[in-house]
Amino acid sequence: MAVRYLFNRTCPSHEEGLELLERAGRTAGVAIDLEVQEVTADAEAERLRFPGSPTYLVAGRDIAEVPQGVPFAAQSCRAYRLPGGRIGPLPTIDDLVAALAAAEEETA
Amino acid sequence: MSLAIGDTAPPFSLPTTEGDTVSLDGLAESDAVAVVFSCNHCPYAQAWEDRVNEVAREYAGRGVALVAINANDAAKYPADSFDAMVDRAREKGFVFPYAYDESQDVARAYGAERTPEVFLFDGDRRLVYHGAVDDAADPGAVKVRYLRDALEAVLAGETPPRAETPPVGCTVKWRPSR
Repeated sequence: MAVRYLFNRTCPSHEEGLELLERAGRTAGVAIDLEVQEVTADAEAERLRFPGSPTYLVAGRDIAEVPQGVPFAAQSCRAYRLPGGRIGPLPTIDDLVAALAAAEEETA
Repeated sequence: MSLAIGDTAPPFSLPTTEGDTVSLDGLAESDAVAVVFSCNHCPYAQAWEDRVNEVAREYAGRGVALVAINANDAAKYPADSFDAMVDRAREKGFVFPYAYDESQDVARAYGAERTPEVFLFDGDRRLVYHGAVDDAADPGAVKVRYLRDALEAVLAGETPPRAETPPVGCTVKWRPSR
């Protein structure tokens, strides 16, 4: 499964976010063909429509709703909705597993 | 560069979401003052804001004033505009003054780099703790409550167990001219 991992290193969660993806792949039983891309310039963020770090594109599709009111800027950190209405800097592993499994099923 | 431990709190006077002004001089009666640089849009600020609110509520009766300051460039981050701050403060029921540093002069004076980032001053307004609120963005994973530990120490007339921790959060969004 093709996964693009877009990140900016000013957001502290980028390494943890990759580890989370690897764990999700193992949990979902999906082999990940990973492309990691660091977004360093705002022009690049605009071109990629990068809503913040980290962003996971599974088979070209964003795994979560894109937050509103945040520009496509290299140094934006991404906000993910978590259970209980909380906000966090990473998705849950369950959300990642579900995205990987759904994409795998679509391509099967 | 950020303030160093022992430095005096730079003065400020800023508009708040309540329609008034908060200033360091106006907090002269407080035994300790916590200045927390924060914002609306950052997931780290959002992850910690309820805990910051709890600290403000719990310590208000013990002579501690807590002020949150948003200095982000609202032209680029509309979610951090003053109007959005007003909405956020109401929605979350902030009990602390949520102030807007539109010029970014206060953030520069403190050397703030992240949101959230805590600067805790004692009764003499000397910096005694600088860094994170606690050690985990996930409230269920917190092991060490840096700000609370520092507050307890200051209120007891002691030195905080940790003077500095790395603030974990988004970078302050400076205006392009910086």
